[in-house]
Amino acid sequence: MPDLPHARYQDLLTALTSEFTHTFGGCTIIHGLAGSYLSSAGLAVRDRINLIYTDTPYSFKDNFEIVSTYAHELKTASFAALEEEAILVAAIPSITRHEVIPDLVEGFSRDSPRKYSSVLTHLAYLCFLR
Amino acid sequence: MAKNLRDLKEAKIERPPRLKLSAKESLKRTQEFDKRKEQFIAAVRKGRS
Repeated sequence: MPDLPHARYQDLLTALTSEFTHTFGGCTIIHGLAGSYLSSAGLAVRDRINLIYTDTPYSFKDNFEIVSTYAHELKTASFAALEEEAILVAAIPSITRHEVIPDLVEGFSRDSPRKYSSVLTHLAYLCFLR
Repeated sequence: MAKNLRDLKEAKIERPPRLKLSAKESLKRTQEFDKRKEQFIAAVRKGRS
């Protein structure tokens, strides 16, 4: 999400932090990332971005509909609060070092002695200004 | 004063242990977002003035 000096952006970050901490037990925020976007005038504009993400302690595959609905509800709530023209919430399955789902990893052998368990879901929240 | 400084050095600062949410509880909270939605929106809107 844009790291702009408006109270509403800081409040959104605070609200998301509280929400992710309550729902998933914690979250991570990366401040001050450098970004660039194409403005309506056709010029590249550099800006600063905050990235907030969290992990779900349950299987992404088995609960896809629930995660999808949650992401949609977050988007709707953020839209209602900010009235931004474009908001994107992304739920992305990812693999952690100790947890592997063979179906998601190309070339991974099911016979591997590696321990299988649920894959943590990285729920990344992205908010774009048009 | 010196006694107070020594006390400070000996004081242990411990990070509170993290509460590990179970998958079941986290899933339940994920599904209950609609109950928190209005509160979420209000928390963001309060800074819009």
